[in-house]
Amino acid sequence: MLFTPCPNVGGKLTVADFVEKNLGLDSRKKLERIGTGGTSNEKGNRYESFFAVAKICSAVATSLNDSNFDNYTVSAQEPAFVDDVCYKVQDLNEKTNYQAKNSSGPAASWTKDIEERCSYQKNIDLNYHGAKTSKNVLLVSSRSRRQKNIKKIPQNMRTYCFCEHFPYLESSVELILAHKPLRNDLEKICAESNLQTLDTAFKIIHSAWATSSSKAKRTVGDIVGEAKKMSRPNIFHSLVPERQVPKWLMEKCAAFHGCNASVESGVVYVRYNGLEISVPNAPEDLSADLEKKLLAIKKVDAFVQLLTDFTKQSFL
Amino acid sequence: MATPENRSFSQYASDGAKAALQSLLKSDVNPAEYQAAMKQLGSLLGDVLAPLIPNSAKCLVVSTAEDADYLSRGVLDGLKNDHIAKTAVFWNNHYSLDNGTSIAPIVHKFLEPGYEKSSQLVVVKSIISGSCVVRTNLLEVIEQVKAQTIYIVSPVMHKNSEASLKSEFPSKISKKFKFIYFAQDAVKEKSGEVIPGIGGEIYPKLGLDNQPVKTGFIPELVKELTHMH
Repeated sequence: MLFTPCPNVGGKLTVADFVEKNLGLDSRKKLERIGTGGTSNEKGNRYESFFAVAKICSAVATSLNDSNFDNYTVSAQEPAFVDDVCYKVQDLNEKTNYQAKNSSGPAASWTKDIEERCSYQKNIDLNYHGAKTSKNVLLVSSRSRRQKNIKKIPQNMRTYCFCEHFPYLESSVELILAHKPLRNDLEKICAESNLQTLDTAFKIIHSAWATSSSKAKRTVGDIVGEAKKMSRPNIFHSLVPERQVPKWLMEKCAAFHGCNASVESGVVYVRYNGLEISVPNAPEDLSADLEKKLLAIKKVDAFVQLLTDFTKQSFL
Repeated sequence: MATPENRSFSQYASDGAKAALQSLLKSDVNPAEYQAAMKQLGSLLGDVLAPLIPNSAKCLVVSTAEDADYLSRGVLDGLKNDHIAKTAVFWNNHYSLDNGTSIAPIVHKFLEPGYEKSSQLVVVKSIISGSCVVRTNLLEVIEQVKAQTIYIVSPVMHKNSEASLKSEFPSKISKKFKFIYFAQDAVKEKSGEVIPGIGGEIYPKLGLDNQPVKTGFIPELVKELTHMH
């Protein structure tokens, strides 16, 4: 179908107006029905939001080197024919739209309706949003359903229509254990592999994703910024600036056999016989007061107490 | 002794356990009495647990910092008579995210050297309500320890906690869970507090001002096991 190229210069035309002008009133009504009839069941919502979090994690992990997190946008339920999750890469001017179906049955089948929606969506992306590339994806939780669907996508649509698999799991722990790419991304973001940390990171990003304080579109940088603020302690260690072990801390640890200080991904740790104290707020330089306290400390228990007293300040 | 409303007891609840649970609920209980009752409950739970675990099996008792000196020490005392038991203590920062999800990331940790060789995990908690802390502390060690059985041990649990905790894990992990508790309570307030539970928030009851991570508190058990003294 041919569309009248009508880039939305100045934002004067809504998506619905554009659709009505180019596709007619019936299509506008269909678009509006899609917008109001979004998935409202718990499982569907969980599937979509877990996928959105996975996309956010992927974007963050991909751009750790240059920290260009604002190059990516993840949003949901925009006025669109393929409307569950929308992923944009700004520098490529690429827009990918996902329709999520966590079913292995017919509900997740590639249909003529999906075909029509993908076709319309491509044209909205190119001609209304001004995207250079539009991709439209039917996201399914069943691998076998994906295989069947791929075969059903007409040859001439395969440049912009896809079917991808993303597993449906009830809990974040199950998802992290089942979906290796997500785990790899979380490990990069947290700079560690402990399952507890990865799951906590997932939950925090999920909260940042799910509870937008404004309706404004947020970049992945905005979402991760909110997640960092919510994380106490900050477990997004790859986003913590590098630092050295403070000299005073190194020297004091040396006074106690078996006591070691180190910095891992920007966080200062002191370890002693199986005990690991994190001191994220350890000062770089000694104040007169701290120097006095350190001089008075002769036993390791008093030293460890001083450190936990430091850390507690971060949580008050 | 009358059973509090909305409470049922498990097969493990002896008269001594019931009396200790009751003493937690006294309005005028002081921290020393409360600590003693918790330690006694821990010993009684340890007594229940010990015969269930083969003597040759190595155990890892996982505790929060606030429970370490009382409930968990009691469990360890019960176990250590005829088992090798290592200890893990975690300082959680327990709070709610903006979307209402409860999390409890670990700030400091103690893992007794050799803990990785344990085959029996014993996760101890003074009360299990939403199971967030138990879940967190279990996740912290689950991939380091090849656990054959995972005991979730608490004097009091909310009636939905068992199902809630199981639902968070894949079945290959949750099928290893065995719940050892004395009482199950049916009522939970919006704040998450189980009623009658353990008589209120644990920190002031034990004589702590707040969560250990916010007070700098270091349990005596950790000081002993790290040979700080």
